Amino acid sequence: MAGANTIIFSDQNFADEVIKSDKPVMVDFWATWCGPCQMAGPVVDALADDYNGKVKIGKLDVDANPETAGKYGVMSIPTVIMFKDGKEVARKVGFAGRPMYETLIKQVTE
Amino acid sequence: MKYKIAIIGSGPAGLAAAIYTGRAEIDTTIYAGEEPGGQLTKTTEIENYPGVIGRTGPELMLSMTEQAQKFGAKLVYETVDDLARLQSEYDGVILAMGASSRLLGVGEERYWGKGFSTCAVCDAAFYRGKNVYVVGGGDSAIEDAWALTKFASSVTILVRKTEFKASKAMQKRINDNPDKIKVMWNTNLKEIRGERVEELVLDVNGVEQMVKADGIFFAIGHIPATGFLSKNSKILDENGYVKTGNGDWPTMTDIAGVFAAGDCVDHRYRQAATAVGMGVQAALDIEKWLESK
Repeated sequence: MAGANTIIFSDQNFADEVIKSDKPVMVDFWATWCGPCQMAGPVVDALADDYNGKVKIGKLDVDANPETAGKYGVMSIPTVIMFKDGKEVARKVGFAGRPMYETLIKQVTE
Repeated sequence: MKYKIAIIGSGPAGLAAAIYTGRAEIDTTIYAGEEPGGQLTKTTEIENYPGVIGRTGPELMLSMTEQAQKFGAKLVYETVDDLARLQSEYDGVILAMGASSRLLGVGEERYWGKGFSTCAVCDAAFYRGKNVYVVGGGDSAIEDAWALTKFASSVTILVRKTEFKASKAMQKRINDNPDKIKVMWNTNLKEIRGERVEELVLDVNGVEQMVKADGIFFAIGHIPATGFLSKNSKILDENGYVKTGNGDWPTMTDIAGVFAAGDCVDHRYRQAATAVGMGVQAALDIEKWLESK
């Protein structure tokens, strides 16, 4: 269901796509059985389109990728984590609306 | 399009209203709020919505959203904090914010995402093999506990009173599965301790007791999501619900052009189906009101 510019992160590609990324990254931790995550999906897709080329934005299915979700201590979804130079710099638990996600994106782009 | 309106809230009431105003060719913007789709997105299968069999709450809300968009309603993923701004930008407003999970105020907010949750259906899978507690005595407390049993090794419900408020059907789930769900009566949560949720301080029959815990879920009802209307308190009752009924307009508030529907108004029925009905009423009223101006 992801948008054209939304990247699908996984346990396998996380090191290459997120940790070693030369651009800031926004990871949306979600799962198919999480209703609030599904409803929030279009916002993440829209952000991925709007910030294409500036910030890498994508989703990680916690069900299929328990290793990464566990490593970052994700215990509630949706959770969004912002990465810069391979390190976590900001986190938001629960859907927060587009303005809040843009505030997080500003933190890693400015 | 002659008129434009804003709908605050994207649950059953707001989306039903948007389907009607959209079809009436009123330019409709829905402010989706903090929980797009509303409370039903936090549930599993829907059993009591007429005509809907074998579908989940999130599925129902996705299709209501799609239906509203099909008739031209625009969805904005923002939370409104100022009614006056919308009143100046739009010809009319429908309040349909619904209700948000009630909290206890025992410092739980510090533990969001660290072992505290109000959505067991969303977060149960993170508690595989863990020891979890649910606070509440109603249907949703039992539903949450039930969802958690699929993953957690131990599930205990903390009930404030000496009996459940939940329906007979839900209580049967507890009685039929005594090995899966434990119940502690006369118990209040006083405090959460640890960096993440590690320990709970309980009041059991007036005696303080400490228990180890990995997770704590709240299912203690909802409060109307009307906090941002504090400046417009004349349209709220003493419990924070929006009051409706203004002259010939049953769904209009005391502010002309501001209508309301769903759980932010209704403290009695609080069903998806009743919220939909109220949303439709508000939509028909606002349409007529705009024409009559």
